[in-house]
Amino acid sequence: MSIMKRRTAYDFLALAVSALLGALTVAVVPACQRTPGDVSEETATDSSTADQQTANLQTDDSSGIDQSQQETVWESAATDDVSVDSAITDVSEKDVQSSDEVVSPNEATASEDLPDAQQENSPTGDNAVTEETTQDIAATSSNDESSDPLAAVDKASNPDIQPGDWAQWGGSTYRNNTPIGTNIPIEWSIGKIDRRTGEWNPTGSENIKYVVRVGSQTYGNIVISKGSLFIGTNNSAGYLSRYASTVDLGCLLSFNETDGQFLWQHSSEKLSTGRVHDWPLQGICCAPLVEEDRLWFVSSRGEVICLDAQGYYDDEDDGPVTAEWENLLSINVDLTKGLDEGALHADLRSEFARVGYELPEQVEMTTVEAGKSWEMAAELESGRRLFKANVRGSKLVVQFQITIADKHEADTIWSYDMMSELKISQHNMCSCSVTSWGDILFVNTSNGVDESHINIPSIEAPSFIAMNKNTGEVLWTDHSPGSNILHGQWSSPTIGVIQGEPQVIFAGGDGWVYSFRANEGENGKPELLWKFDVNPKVSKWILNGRGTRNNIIATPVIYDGLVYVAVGQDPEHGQGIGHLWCIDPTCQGDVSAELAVHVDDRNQTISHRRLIAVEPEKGEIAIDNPNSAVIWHYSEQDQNGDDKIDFEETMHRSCGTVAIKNDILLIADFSGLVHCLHAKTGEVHWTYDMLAESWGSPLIVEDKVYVGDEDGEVCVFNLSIDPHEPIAENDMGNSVYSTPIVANGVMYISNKSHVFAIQSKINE
Amino acid sequence: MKYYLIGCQITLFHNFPKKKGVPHTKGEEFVSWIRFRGGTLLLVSCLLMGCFAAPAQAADSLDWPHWRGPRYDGVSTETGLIDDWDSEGGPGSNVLWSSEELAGRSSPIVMNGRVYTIVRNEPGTTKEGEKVVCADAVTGKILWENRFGVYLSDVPDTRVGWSSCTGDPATGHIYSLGVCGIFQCLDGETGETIWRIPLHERFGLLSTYGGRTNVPVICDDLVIISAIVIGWGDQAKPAHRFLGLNKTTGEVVWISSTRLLPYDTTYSTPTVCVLAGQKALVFGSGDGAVWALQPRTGKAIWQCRLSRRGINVSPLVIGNNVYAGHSEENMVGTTMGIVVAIDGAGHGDITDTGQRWRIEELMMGKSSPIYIDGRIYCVDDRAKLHCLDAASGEAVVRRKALGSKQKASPLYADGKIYTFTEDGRWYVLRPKTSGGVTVVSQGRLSDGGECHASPICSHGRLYVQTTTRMYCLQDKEKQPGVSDREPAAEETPVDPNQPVAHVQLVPADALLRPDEKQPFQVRLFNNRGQFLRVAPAEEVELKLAGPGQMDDQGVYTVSQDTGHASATITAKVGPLTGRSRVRIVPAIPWHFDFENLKDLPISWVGARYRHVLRNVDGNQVMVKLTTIPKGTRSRSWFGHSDLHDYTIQADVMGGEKAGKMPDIGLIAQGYTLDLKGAHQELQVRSWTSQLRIAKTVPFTWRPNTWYSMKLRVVNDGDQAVLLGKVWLRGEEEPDQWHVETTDPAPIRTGSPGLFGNAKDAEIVLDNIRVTPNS
Repeated sequence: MSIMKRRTAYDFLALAVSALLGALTVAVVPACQRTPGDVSEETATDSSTADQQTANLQTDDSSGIDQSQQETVWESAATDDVSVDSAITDVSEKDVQSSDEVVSPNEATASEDLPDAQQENSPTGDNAVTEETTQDIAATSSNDESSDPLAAVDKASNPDIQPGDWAQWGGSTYRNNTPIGTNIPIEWSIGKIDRRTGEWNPTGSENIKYVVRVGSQTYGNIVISKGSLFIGTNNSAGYLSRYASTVDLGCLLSFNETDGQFLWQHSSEKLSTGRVHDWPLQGICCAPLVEEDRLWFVSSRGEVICLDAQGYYDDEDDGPVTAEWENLLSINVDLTKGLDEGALHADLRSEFARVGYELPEQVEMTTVEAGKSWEMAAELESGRRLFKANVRGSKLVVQFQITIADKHEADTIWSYDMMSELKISQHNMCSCSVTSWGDILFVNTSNGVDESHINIPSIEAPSFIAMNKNTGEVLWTDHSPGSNILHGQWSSPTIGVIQGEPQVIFAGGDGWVYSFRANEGENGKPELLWKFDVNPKVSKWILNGRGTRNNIIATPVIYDGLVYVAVGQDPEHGQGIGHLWCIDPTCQGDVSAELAVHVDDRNQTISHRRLIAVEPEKGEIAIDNPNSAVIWHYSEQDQNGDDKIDFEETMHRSCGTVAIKNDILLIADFSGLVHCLHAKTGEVHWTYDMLAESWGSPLIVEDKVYVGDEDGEVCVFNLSIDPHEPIAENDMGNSVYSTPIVANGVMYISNKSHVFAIQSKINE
Repeated sequence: MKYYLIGCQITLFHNFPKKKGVPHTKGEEFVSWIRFRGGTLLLVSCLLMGCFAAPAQAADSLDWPHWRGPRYDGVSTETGLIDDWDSEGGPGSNVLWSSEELAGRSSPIVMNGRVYTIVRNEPGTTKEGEKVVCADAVTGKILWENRFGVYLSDVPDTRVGWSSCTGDPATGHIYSLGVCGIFQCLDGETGETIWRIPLHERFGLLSTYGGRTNVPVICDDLVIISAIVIGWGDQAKPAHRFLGLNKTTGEVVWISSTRLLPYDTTYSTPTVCVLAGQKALVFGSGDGAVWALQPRTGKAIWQCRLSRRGINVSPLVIGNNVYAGHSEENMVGTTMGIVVAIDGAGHGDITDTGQRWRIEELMMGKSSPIYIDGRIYCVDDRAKLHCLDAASGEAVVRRKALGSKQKASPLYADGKIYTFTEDGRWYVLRPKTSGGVTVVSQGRLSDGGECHASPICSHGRLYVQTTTRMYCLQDKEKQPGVSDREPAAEETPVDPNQPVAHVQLVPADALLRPDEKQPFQVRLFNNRGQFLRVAPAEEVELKLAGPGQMDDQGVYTVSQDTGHASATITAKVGPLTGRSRVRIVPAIPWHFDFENLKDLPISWVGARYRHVLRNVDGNQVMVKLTTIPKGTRSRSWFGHSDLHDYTIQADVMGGEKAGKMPDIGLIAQGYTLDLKGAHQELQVRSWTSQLRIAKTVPFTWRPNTWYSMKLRVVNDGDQAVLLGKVWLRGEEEPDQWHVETTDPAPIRTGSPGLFGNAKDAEIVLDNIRVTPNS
């Protein structure tokens, strides 16, 4: 391994010092958990949330938190912050208890063989938590719950991650990318790829099981389920003969998990309205959800689609949607010659043959409308096949009816067009990776602005919806972001059981996080549990990313009963100022860090405004929210204590989600910084400048962290709180915008054009 | 007085003086227009033409009149430039001056002791617009500003000031294209506007949110500019089109189009160069190809298709080699990005034959490369510096990480590469003979500024514009000097006896009024696009198709009673023809009821193709279609841009599809009255995404129902007053205006037109009336 780039692991003060800093600057008890008397005098301030929190903690003697207690807790956080995962054994009991009330969607039971490997592989043995310490923490929490800053932490609410498939974005509804795998390679070599044909030449490759050709731009993350690999991409690979590789489509591809053989493709033709709704060549930008033999995803045309995960390989055309008509040819209108007389032009026959339908001599022709519309039937090897031919402008468009013989086609179960049914107008792209709870499917519609980037054409259209996953029936809709949508809505929902109740958490295009009860709602409306403004009230939205107000592209992550989300924007808008929040989801109502009020009437909050929530010149101010759910907030921390905030001490915008294991949180941002924080305190352990933007999310597996970047490198770090350079950098050939995953002992990484199945020889 | 002869190129033809007259540059012997008189040409005036342009001093070789430098290659011959600097300023920082007023995103230029750039004007205010700013090159003191509006555009304010100015050393003039399409020729000394053309209203320039705006280039007597243009008549489909304009008058000399329906807008600045003895304009196009055109005729020399989307990098031309790149999809396979060496001596479509080498997956999509001693140095979109062997394309050393994002092109001067990443990291690098670079110095802008602009140098000073300020950098300890450099390639000399290969009828496109006269001139070129002579009348067969008369002196006179019409004039010289298109638009009042028409008025810009006429219950109406790919939301214009103080009224009806309604807009004097469907609002505005003076009121209206809409604009002292109303057609017009606002930074004149957003449902219009106020 050679580290070619000039890279800078940012050196911090000694751990103890940084722990102290963390203790001074980070809040751990959300205001909403304090007793009323604890709430500090509301002070008007226009400084950032972080500053307010800091000010509060530092100056507020009446906070009600016993100082010594706080220190104790901090001490334990500082020294025992690694490998708290061992608490998982401690928690399993609780897990079983709570599973009485809440049925995990996977019906998984607490496993007795929870991976001890995790403990064995814990990154820094000397930091490993002793049983004694764990008990101490447990004791603290049970003895004095009201003052325990981490009382809200509900370890029982973590999903039960098993070795095996990885069947949705983030692996589970909790979206924490920490699969279980063993012997996952740290280093590999992709071999050679022919740039013209895309073919893989394994010569010289190392630890590569297989390579799959996908489109030219691939943002959809990989999902593995029941022996199949699924990925969203564009049509540049041209797997279907009916669409040349130069035809721009959104494609959801399915491959055999074992050897990467192509199975089937779902094709979404581009919307004619162009980039405002359906950006050229970006394809399907989400990851599907797969359960058993069903798959759900959102297409580039704004549809929620349910497919048969096996396609037609089960030799069944599953319904209700059956015998789909699909476009086969769009050719010169001159080839209609003779159709009225029942004769097929030789060139028309060869066009059929070109796309895989060699027509026999005998073709039954029916003229529906002379010179305009025909129907055809023919006996082919695959049985009796039906076609329709229609003149559309200067083109003859031929359609065919799909049968179970068309193995390379997708078997649609149902499809729901959000653009026509819900009047949504997605901005640039629909990108939601859907998730489900029981029979309910949750979707962010991606409703957004139009070409002007100011006007929201469909203010009334919903942003968040719940559907019956079996039928596609809409159960409830919510349009809370409405007229406050800043740009688009590209985040995906997260579901977790919080204190026994499942919550579905959506990040809105207005920069608010919304949590609803994850049920069928009432009268078509969901029950809002809490909402959280990720932006400081005085921040301002300015077009093209010049402002300080942000929206959210990342998917919220739930870990130990806490919610984590970073702010972001369209990567084109630059790295900007970012925020990373840790939120207590047990609070109710508006749980934002701040409230917007008028200086003369602080009891009346000002309703949220899109571009700027507080205008100081109008006498408006931001005050601390007594009902704040903030556990901690990270935007910048003066790590080296030089009273200056350096580039490396700043959280920038990110569209990546956090990954957390053993209380170690990792996230990468648009400026190329990888940030490692304490998940419970927000204390920054280290940052590392990859000198390349990262759009994906980290993968944590075993005791290693994998982060892909725009330069096409995957950096591997130790899951460690000690600052360090990457232990390996693997060249993937071109940009890695996606997130690495692990399923069934194999790591999968997609760059823009290929999927690489990476496996050590031991696991073969 | 010393006259600067513009190569061997002879200018001129000139309009009959128009009402406004054509400002002369001072002290100049103005040569009159050429006429066809009794079949004899005043050839003598031709010979004087070269002097027409300017009383210019010889061009200062240390000036930097174009953002890529005098030779369009990012290379300077100057020596004694800084090795290091400190953006904090102060003693020893090598910061001669820095100016927040000159902050922006475009590369500056330096000419005649002045630095010129385009920036936002009064940002964030109700008066916001754009301006060309001129400052003293040594002190940074602002000498003048030329302010102009941004209107009828989707561009965000943060992308204003996108393009760079270009200076013409021969005349001292400055050329600038604003983000919304205001194209200007300015007096470089005073900042006065010599001529101004709103390219959006006049030609249908597309000004989008993306903001991509092109940089003008000068070739002889022409200033050449390009954009995605949705024109009139047979140019109603969009294309990346080039306009060759007379640099003194703004008259259209030629229009040239790349492939129709490109996927993207583009900002690839053309490189003016000589390829195999032939003068060429080499650029990347919105259609995904690199093209070479003859700059004097607009004729294509070759094209090389590289990308499925647009190309934004300005090509580098060294000898006959053209180095180009992009970071979009390649034509074959699933890769994105390429750096390619093209054999620039070719002809025709050289996609398959003309690529000497290609390095795929090198994402050079924004920053242009530089050539140093047989090597190509390029910075990819992720701010990684590559050093390639110019002959083979092979990497000489592994890429070097400079940062994470790159927009600016590097500068090579004084044996050093100066480069800035977008996130504000800067480097001074020295190329190594073994390949690669040594870091002389590096740092980060201390004030958080970003850098979209390329550094330039002139007279021992470096200039760089960041989003927070402009820096002028000079090491006063060093002695400025100049090193030698091979002269630029020269054109094959013109032989006047060469056969004629191209006939140019000038103007190529004109917008006239009834009764107006327009002289035409026929100019002949050889096959290398070099000017041979003006065609004597006896050699030319002029043919007019359309209303009006063409006299034997080549002067076209529009008939007095001509309505909204067009004419085509062809000039036949032997087997060759040249062609001009003329639009005729009468004075207001106008009334369009579309009866007895087969298509929309041909003189409208951006209207045909996106709209059709349809007969509804025996009444002919105009319909904006929902099916035009990428064309369902658009603007169109009816005529002259000098109109003001008028009222536009129309009967309008919005369709409904899946519960969605369209937005219907009328345009007057640069302002839009927008009846918004989804929002059920009425809005009057100037600038779509900035809404600086916009006024919006709730307005409930129904689909499939006829309304009458009226927009009136009144110039009132220092302001413009905007008044709009809508009522049910057939009902009495309400006395009150529904929406009113005033503009303290008024758009004084502008063409009437339409805005429509028919993505969701069709728009139907009828009885469009434009009448003078009062």
